[in-house]
Amino acid sequence: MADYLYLIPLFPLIGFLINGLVGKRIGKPMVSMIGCLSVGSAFLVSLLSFNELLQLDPHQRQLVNHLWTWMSVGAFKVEVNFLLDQLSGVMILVVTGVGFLIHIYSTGYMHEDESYWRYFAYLNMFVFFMCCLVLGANYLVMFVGWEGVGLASYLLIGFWYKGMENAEAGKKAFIVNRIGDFGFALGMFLMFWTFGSLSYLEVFPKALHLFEQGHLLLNAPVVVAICLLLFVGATGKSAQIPLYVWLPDAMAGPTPVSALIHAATMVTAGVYMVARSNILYTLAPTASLVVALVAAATALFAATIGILQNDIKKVLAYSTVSQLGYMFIGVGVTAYWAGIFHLMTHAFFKACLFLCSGSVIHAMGGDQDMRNMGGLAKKMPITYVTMLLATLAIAGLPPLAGFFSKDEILWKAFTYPYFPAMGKIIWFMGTLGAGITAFYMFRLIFMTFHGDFRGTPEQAHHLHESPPSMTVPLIILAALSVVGGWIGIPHLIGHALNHHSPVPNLFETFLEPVFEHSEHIVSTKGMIHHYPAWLEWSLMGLSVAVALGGIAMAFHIYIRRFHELPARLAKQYAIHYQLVYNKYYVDEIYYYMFVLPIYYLSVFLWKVVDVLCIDKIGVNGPGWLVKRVSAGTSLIHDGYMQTYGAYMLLGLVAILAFFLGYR
Amino acid sequence: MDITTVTLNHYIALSVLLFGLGTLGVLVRRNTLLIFMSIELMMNAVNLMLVAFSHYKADLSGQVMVLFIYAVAAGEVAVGLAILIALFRHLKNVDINNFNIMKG
Amino acid sequence: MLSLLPETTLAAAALFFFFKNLELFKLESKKAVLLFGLAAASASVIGLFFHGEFFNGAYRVDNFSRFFTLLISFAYMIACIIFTRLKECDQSRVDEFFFFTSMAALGLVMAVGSVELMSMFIALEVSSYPMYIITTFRKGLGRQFEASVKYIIFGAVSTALMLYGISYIYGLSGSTFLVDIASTLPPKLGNPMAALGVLLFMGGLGYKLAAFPFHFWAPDVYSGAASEVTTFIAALPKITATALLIRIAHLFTGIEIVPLTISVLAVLSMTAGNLMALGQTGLKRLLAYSAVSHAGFILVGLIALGNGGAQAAMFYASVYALMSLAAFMVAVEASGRDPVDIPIERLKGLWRKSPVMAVMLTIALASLAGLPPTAGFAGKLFLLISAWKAGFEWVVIAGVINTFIGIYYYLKVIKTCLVSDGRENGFAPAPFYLKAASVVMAATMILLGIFPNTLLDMAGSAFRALVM
Repeated sequence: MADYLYLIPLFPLIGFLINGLVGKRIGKPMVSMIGCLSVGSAFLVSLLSFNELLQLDPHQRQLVNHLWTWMSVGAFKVEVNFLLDQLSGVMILVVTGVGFLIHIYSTGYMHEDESYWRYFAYLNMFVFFMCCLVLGANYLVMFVGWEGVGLASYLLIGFWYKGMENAEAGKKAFIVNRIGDFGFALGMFLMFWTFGSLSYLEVFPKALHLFEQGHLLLNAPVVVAICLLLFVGATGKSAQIPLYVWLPDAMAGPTPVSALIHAATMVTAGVYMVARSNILYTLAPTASLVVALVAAATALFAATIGILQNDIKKVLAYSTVSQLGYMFIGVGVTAYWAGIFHLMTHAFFKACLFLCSGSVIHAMGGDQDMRNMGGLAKKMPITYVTMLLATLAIAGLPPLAGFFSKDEILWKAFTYPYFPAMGKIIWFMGTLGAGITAFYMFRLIFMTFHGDFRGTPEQAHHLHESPPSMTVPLIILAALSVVGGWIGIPHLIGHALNHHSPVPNLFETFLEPVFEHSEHIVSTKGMIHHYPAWLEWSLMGLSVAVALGGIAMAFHIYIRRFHELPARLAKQYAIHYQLVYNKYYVDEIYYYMFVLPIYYLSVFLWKVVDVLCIDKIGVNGPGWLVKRVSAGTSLIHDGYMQTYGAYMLLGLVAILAFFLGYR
Repeated sequence: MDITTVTLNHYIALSVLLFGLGTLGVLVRRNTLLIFMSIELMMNAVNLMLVAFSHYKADLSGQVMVLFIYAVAAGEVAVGLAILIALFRHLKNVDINNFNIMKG
Repeated sequence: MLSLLPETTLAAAALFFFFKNLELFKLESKKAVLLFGLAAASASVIGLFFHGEFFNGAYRVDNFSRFFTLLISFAYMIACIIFTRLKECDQSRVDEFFFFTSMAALGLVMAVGSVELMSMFIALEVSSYPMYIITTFRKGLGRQFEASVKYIIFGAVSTALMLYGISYIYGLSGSTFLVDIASTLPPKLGNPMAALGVLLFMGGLGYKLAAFPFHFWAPDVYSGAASEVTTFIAALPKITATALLIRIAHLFTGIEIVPLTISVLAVLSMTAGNLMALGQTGLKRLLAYSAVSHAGFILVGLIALGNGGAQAAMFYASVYALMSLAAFMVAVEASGRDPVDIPIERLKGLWRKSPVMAVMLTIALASLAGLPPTAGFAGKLFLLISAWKAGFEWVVIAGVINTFIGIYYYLKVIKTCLVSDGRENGFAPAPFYLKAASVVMAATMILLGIFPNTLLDMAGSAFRALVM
């Protein structure tokens, strides 16, 4: 029946082994063929199994592939099982599908690299672990994937290891993720201790059962603790406050890697994990609220930082952090399907954006500074159009994919059943963030593709559209960014489109069985208000208006006032300075009211909070501390035999004292 | 209690004293040779203890153990001295404070 | 006589090299050592099926001792394979070297089978002397003598302390047989003399395991001795120490203070080892401090012997020996040109020169770091779960933190061996059998992570033999 699920991770594993072991000898064409074919076959198998899933009755849609009993010590038993249900089905299609496209793209992008084979080996290894993460039927297999993708990401960030900065970035990603993994591991231990298992198919029914029997109250401390610990892991992997700092630096890796790992798949693992544990989070409203609040803060915070970045990939990186915030808002306010929906649409448009930026960087000969670009639309029409579509999608304009998913999340936040008042605040932060997103994304478009070219003559001479291996994936992803949202059309619009037979929300219906228990709990324990339809319409209108406002502002500053740019380039951080001498009075008001506060906020958040607090103290701090301690302990080992002996005897006496003194 | 009676506790006290002296010697002597001798002192404290226990428990195995320990201690000293001689050939002295190149 | 086959084989190896040293045989030494390694390993497999009791019950061959005999013999075999490379050792002493290592392995095997304190002690001494001696077997004027002096003084003091402990135990229980001690000593543990005796004895074993605070010799001996010697010292004695610690700790099950003390030592050991390893630039020194931290992990298993802890500790000891041998196999390949330690930088370009070795090293270090899906991950997981079940949550938290600290410095080494900056370090191409061995070892480390149950069940049945 489902005994072929193991093939999905197996193909990339084989690809990894072949490319890793003999990749150097078999030549580039062979390496790319093996790399792409292995992931392509995984995608095919995923499609087949997904099709099998669809044949089943909606409530029976669970394919379990038992492989072997991994370990059993007394009561502790872990089996290596793969589970394909609606949730992991969607995820595996995204992972292998987008992964496949990015593999193809990489054959063009990395063509000149000398370590081509190593790159594909790592990439295949990543896909293998990601499949384990998604398909694993218990937390331990998920953890294997979780650590594995971290390793692959670490290796790929430092792929061009000649640059010192890359090594630093890899190190940073590494340390930050360890903090997260620590939470995840403890969460697992606590879960095992509480429920006696780590398997999804045992823990969730048991939790539900205990809850229905009244043995487990809503908001039971132990469940809240489990959820919060797991969420610590998610903040590390999925770059949420305060552990998001590694993601912008991770852009040091090759661009397709940024697209696959640091935008479309790995960083969404945290969202997937929370959605997977939906029953636990639903049983712990406090933990859900923490998730939603952290997420809303991240969404707004990262968007604000995005305004000032001049590195095209850094803009996209902060945008990813911000969009991940939206996904977590979704799963935090118990609208799990909406979070996953945004995860999927985001995978399409963000992968597209990153690949487009890769295409631009490729054309610019490695230059990533947007201040050196401009007017590329004429030279690279395909890249321009696809990137514009993806940008419209991320800005949330109907009828593109981002509109449906983001709007659903914001609406669900507004109607947050557990904490309605908090929901309004989260909604406000989210909507504001959406406006800022539209602004900085169009800033990127305008600075890159419009106006005049500002780079060196050699760069101008070199400008060209990318080869088909790169543009075809772009076109596919752009198309998906346009139509991807149509499977999740809100009921409201569905009704409006056709009164007699409303357009169904396919995605929500499809995922329903996974989340139905949670929805049941929420509907009995939460405060469900019925909001009038006009409210939903107007909120929808508002968010579109905010997005349009952001675009208009970007147009105003970066197209109409762009002749002032040369002066601005001289004084990098003095936009306001230029604009103060502006003769349009309107501009000044505009400026003092909106631009300046946001500008200073952005500078403050970036320079003070981000760089100083989190980077210097949060990330380098432990390293510094550890080095100090290490130096101190090394002093004990001063080389003198008799010092050693004294320490040993001292230790013995201390142990004896402890032994006898206890009781 | 007759002052001339020697009890088990006397032996234990003497042995603790010897062992302590040996330990102190290991910790403070500079000359590696003397450190080895101090270790011998520790071993002898052990032997004293075993013989005393053996006597008071009327169990001969303790005294058998002493013989084994003598043999083992002799082996240890033989190996130790051999290494020390090799070291002396290179460094021309046996001061333990010279052996601190490796550290950290 | 088949029940003493593993011991006999090792003794034969020792005898062979003793006479070989007198130039009685023509067989090439390196071939002979490979042969004896294989013979010892096969003998230990055969030995699994024969049990018995010898020397008036002082020496018992059962599932428990044979499990560890198996581990030691296989570790000895791998060590023999590595010995054929002899890069830092004095070539003129090759036969002596093989003689002493065989003797040491014999002593370690004998110690595992002993169920009487005195024979345990003598077997340990038989294994120690050869190791003190081979520490000096390094070419040129490195720091080998300093290392050896530190090793022997530390060892002799530990021996004296251990003997002192034995004398107290004997005095209080009237016997040195573990069976008698088990019935008489535990109730008296409140008596300071009994406590001192037990702690001193376990301290002597802690020295073998290089657990904090008995680890001070390890970094200096590891870096001062020839790499081949370090290979031996790093892997084999740890197995025996684990076995004996389980034997002793098992006597005191049910006494609350014993696991508590061990847990404190375990956490101190893993933390101290890790912190000190962070700043190291020498490969062998780094591995020495990491060994201290792993000793701490093995001690975690002793906290909850009955709760699967013993099984976990046995699993981890075997995995640790394998990982350590794998790491040192590469260290031996990289060694030969440094006065003392091998700088980690030396590994640069290993990936390019010898991909097989680089892959094995990567897997070994990932396993040491406890990354899934390697054997080290499974081992650590079992250990921490057993501690969690015994109610030592804080040990689990400390263990998880330490695992994540450890990953940092292991990955640093992995990173170095994947880097090549053009200035290649000349690694001589490894012969075929070495490559084959490293492939097998790498595969074993992964397979034990994916299918740990076989070894775990073996450890479980071995432990049951001890309980009965």
